[in-house]
Amino acid sequence: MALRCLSQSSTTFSYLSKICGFRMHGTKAAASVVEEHVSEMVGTERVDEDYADVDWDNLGFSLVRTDYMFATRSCREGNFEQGCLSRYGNIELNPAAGILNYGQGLIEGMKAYRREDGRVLLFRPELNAVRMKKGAERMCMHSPSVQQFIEGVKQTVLANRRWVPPPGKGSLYLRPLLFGSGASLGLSAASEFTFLVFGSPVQNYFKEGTAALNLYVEEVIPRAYLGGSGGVKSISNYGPVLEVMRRAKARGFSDVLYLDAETKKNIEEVSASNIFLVKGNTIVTPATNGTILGGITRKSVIEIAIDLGYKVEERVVPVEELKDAEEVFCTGTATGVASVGSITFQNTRTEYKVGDGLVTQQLGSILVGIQTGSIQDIKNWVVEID
Amino acid sequence: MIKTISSLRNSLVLPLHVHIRTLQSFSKYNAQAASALQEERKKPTHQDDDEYADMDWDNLGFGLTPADYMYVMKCSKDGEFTKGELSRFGNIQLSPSAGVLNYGQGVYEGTKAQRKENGKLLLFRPDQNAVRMQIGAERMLMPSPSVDQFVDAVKQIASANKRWVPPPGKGSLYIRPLLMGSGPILGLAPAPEYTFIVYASPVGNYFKEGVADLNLYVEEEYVRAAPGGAGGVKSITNYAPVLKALRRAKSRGFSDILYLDAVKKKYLEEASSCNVFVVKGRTISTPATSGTILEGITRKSVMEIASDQGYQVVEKAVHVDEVMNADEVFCTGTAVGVAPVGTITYQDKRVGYETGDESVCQKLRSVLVGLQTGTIEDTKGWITCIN
Repeated sequence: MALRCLSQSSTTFSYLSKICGFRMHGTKAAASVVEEHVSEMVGTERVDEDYADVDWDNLGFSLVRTDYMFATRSCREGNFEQGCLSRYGNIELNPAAGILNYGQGLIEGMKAYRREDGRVLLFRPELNAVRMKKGAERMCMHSPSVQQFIEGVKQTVLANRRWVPPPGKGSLYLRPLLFGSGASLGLSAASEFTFLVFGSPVQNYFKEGTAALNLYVEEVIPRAYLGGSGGVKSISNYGPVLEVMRRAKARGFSDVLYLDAETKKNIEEVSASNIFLVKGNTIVTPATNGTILGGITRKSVIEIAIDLGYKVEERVVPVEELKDAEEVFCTGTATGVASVGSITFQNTRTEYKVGDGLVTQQLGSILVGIQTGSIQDIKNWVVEID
Repeated sequence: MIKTISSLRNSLVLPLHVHIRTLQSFSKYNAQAASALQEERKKPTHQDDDEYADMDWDNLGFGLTPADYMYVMKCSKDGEFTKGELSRFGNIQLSPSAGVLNYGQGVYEGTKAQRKENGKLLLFRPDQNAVRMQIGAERMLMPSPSVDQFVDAVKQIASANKRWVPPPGKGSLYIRPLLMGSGPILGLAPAPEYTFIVYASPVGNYFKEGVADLNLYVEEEYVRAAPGGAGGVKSITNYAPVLKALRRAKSRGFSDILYLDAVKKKYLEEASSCNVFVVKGRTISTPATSGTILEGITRKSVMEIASDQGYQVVEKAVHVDEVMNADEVFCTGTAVGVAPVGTITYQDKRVGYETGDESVCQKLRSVLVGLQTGTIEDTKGWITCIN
């Protein structure tokens, strides 16, 4: 009945204190209440899957407003309250909030997939939880526990079940967000933090769809530097590269490949994905030494490649090696395993093999198979939500 | 019988022959005026209740006490900023997928309003903040208010919050303009809508030490900015990543941190929220702003004042060894003012510097404060006077 009140509410204010009667102890109970009321609202008995009214064949990577989001706040001691769901909508923030004035925020990115049999799956959510914790420590923030994180993500997916695309049509992209919501004037860590999760159905990240990417090597603007925050998923890593991305896109490139700040000699990663080079039986990727984000897709692909018998090297990768690679691909939650068709460095454009039967496609299809449940999950990477 | 604060002020204004002098000769005057005002304040309220907000004006630090009104103005990605409005200070609404929350798309500014003896409010070079915000906005792919819009907003905030501007000599009204990507965006790209907000808070001293000398620590592990990054603009993204270093230094008793350059780790850059100057004899050096350092407005102003006073002012790469051999070191910033540095610790060496009334720092500080508070004549057109 609480959800009915929520659904009838016309205000967009949706902060925790306004949700009454919805706090339940025991996460299973909460999940089942959501389930029950979702079907009540739809008004039919659920026999077939109910989908939101979306053109599932033409999903890109834009924000689609879903039904619910999850939120919780920390108190002074640093513990997070048991969170709850509310209608997706605006949040309220003090103008002096730490995130708005000092950029104190971390993001995560995950996807929920619908399996052929209708069950909804998450991929290694505990790794995102741990990565957010590590990021929080670096950025002087309190973070939800791994369990609270996963619970928040699960509740968000369950509540927005009708927004998880049909099998093969995409996924529900999830954005957990941790930020300094407490206010302060001088430069200091906030004393209160908010953890929020919202989702949006997506398919292809790039405008190119699944076509191979064309990357540009940026020599002037670094993405990160030693002693900075590049190795965690801090929001502060992103704003400063918007300019580089725009310039590259204006010249027809899909994205930018960044070099290390200290020597400008070694490749690091792309704006929102890691990078791999393939030569023969060897697959090479830059080591995560503090400036590069340790991607979960990256980590998974490394393991899949080793299982298949490839030699995988995590090390410094000089930019010269780009011209010797046979294949190049990017990995990321949003991007998936994406083929790179060409990389332009200074005035030289190097092209790579793309298409079926190659290493990229082999690794990508195994990963997707595991994530969508069509390949057996022997590594326990997949979590069934319901 | 003196009944109102304003009539008290009027009775104390004397015709002054103003020359460029140190603040010392004026400080006694200010102190008398200030203490008289304070006396008046303590009396039971026969005066107009709205003259001053209910604050302990003697104990202002740098905590947030939001003044009554804030200013909000919006625009879309390709549009321009429309007319902004004052509203009561309060929470703003943002989409959870706002650009500022997910990708750090935001820049801010800092300026102060001072109350002059005669009750007028003074702003210090607000046009400089306006231009700096425009430069920062462009770097972060945001549209920005025009200089006129920015200055007008700051003036409105100062006027509307007049009762929060501390009595002369007790502090100032710190004004915080903020520009953010408020529109929703999922993939990494500029937000489709932007919001410009200005809020304010009365402040006294920035550092816990008050006006005592600062003790700085040279940071070698964490880096504030790298060439090509956004360190040269006042992006919100420059700040959260140094919180950890700052917290560590403060827990060890330091006031703030001095950052070194990202490449050689040998050249001075700046402190967490102020620029730094090194004095040796009659030469005052400060790191050149080559893209990694924020070009402070206080920095710029102090350089000009120093030059006028006959010092040799040099902007260059300042090696950390030079700092350790200097006569004096001081920091400059809107929030911190011109603050003397008592010691700097680099690796395991701790060096002390000259400070005090006869120091270059104090001389320059007096002139700057005199200009900002209207006790020294403003011949450079740096002061904007409102109502």
